[in-house]
Amino acid sequence: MGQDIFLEKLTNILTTDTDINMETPLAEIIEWDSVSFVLFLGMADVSYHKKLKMNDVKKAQTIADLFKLVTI
Amino acid sequence: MTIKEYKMRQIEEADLAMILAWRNSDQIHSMMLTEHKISREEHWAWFHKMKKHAVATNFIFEYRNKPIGYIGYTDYDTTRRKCAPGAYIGERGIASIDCGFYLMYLAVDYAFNQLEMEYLETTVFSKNLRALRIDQFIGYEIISGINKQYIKNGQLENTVMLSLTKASWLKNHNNRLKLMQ
Repeated sequence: MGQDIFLEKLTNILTTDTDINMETPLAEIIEWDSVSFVLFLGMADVSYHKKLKMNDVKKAQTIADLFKLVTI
Repeated sequence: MTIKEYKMRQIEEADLAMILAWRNSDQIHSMMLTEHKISREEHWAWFHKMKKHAVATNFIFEYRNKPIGYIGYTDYDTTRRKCAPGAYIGERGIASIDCGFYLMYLAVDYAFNQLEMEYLETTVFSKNLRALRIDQFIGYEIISGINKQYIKNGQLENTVMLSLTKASWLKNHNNRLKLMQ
């Protein structure tokens, strides 16, 4: 799955009206919170078959970092 | 009960004002099935009634010994060994972003392993997709055919009921442990 689909799925999790792209820092997205964090773990599992470690997700700084986690 | 930097402890009288402020905040109140905001009298009466119970079912959720949320169990039924957990983060910005996972984990794990429940139920508004998804991530499954309606902000709102069995929780235990590494 490419970046566009990833961004669409992430936007759906965040339920945000903010325009996001791969370079958007997570710290600038208000909706990137403790709920979105868990939902992202679920998305990684269901859509990308990746069981991520929470510590790895916590280290992510940008959306591109999240994308790397599910695609590498 | 403690896990990493998170723990749950029994509610004390000194916590009541803080919990009431959380409970009546727009963010938390909007997720609750009750329409009205909780009065001080109602809140204190709830606490004194709850203190008489033999088993503690209401807790403060802490991060590094600072209160950040609430965990409670209603419809507590020792005969059928079922109850309805409820939990929320009241204090945002203090804990790490993984606090939502540990809140849910502790709420469910305590119910099964300390309260010795076998079956959990929870009800969420249908439109609260975030709550619905997080419950499903933890392992809850939607019970089809049960769609009660509640009045919220003067409007009739649909709800979804979900359930989780202890057997299902234990089956996925290793997956959750991997996440926490």
